[in-house]
Amino acid sequence: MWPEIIKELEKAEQVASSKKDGADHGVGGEEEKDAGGEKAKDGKPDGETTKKGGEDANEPPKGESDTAGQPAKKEGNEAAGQPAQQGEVFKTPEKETKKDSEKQEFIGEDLNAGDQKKKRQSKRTTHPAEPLCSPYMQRVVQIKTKTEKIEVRIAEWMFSTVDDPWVFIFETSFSTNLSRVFLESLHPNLYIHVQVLTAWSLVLNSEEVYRSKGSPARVFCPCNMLGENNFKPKLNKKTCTQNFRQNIAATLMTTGFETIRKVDMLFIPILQNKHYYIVCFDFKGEDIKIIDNMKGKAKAQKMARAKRVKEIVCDYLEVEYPIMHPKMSPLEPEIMKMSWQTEKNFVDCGVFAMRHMETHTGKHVSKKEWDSGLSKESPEQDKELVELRHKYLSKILLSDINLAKGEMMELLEKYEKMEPEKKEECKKNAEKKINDRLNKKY
Amino acid sequence: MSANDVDKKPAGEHINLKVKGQDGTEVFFKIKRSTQLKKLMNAYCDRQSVEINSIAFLFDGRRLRAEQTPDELEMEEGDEIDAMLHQTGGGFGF
Repeated sequence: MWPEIIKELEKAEQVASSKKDGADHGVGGEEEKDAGGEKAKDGKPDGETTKKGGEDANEPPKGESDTAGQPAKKEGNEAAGQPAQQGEVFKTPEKETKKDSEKQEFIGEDLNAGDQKKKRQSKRTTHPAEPLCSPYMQRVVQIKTKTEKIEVRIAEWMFSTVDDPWVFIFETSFSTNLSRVFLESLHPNLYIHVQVLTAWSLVLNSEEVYRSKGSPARVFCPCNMLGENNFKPKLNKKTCTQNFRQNIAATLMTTGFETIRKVDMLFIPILQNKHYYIVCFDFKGEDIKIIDNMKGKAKAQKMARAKRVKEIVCDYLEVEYPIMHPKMSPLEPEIMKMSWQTEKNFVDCGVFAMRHMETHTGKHVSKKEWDSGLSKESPEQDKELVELRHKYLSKILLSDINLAKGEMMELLEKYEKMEPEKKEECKKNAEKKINDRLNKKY
Repeated sequence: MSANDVDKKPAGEHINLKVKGQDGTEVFFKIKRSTQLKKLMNAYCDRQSVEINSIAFLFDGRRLRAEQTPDELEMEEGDEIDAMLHQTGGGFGF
């Protein structure tokens, strides 16, 4: 008895639902069709069908009911054709489709639960608490303050020319590794290696999360990202822009910013004819600055390079930051004038470039808002530059992004255990020895 | 197919080496084990349009010399060489 009644009820439901849909999918059973139709017209089809659906769910339907249910199922989701779920599927068509989509989602979630979790996790970026940020945290290296013990120890070891010059003492997760000899170039009176500036960019990028609320979001590019090979006459602008796009994408990955749109200032260090300077794009203040420690007007070569950089960056902005492109493209790069610029210093431009990157936050120097902490060109300034070389060396090596800190400390301790006479021997003529190590031709 | 071909060849004939630039770009080279690395270095610098003196090639934390060969350095199939910019600056040019 019971199975028959159930079958009839199912058919009635089927008819009711198909009628609502405007298509007659009824498979036989005309008497039931009428009953179902009346119920549907009563205005309470939902309640009725739900009840019946509930019954269905309680008692598993037979093969016939399955075939009867097929047309309705076709309208919705075929994947949800399990007998036990028919109770839900057989509700009103609107609900049916809704439920089906929910089911699809649910199924999807089940299959890709891990992936979705990962996606959600990757979206969430954590920010350090305010007390951990600037101004409570000092980001800028201070001049004329006491040199820390560790800074003295590192400098002494670094300029002793022990160890293999090519051993990696600075490694990052961004595939930038620095050999010892590169950092040795921070010795006073020596030209600074291009890798030191690249490492410095990474260190500064990693510290941008600690900026105070009012500070601009700065991104520092690795040095010579727009290197000599991007300025050869045979290279067309399209290739240059393409190279730049790839390079900046790689750079942004090392920062906390996903796109250039979240960036307020872009620093591009340039090494041209053995001279370092910075081209700085200020999207917030809408200007392009050449920050150079050399006094006077920019020579044609330098100006041409800066203009080329601007063109490439503007081409990039046209695609990636269209709002900024019309604002930046009519601008010409301007030379900044600072009180600490030099005329006769031909060795420290790397230190100046590093200092400019560290301290410049877009404020114009003539308003006395940008203070790099350096004095005017004088013996005093030379002392400050030596101090900065020592402090920057420690800051790079002791940075959180340096994965080889452990190995570095081991080498340092190994050196400290050496006999005093041997140490003295190593330290003799350090400048010349480092220069030889750097410029040895292979 | 290519992997099989490599397997079939007697060890010591050719070797595939990867040169990794600092921007993460990778260039693959296939050279004889007995060929001087100078050939690879020149090819890489030509391709990147940079001067050979401005790049340092590092393998296992050692700088490669142009006259060294993969055999000498006991390089293995698929080994990675780091190509690094090797320049200094101090304000001489201007």
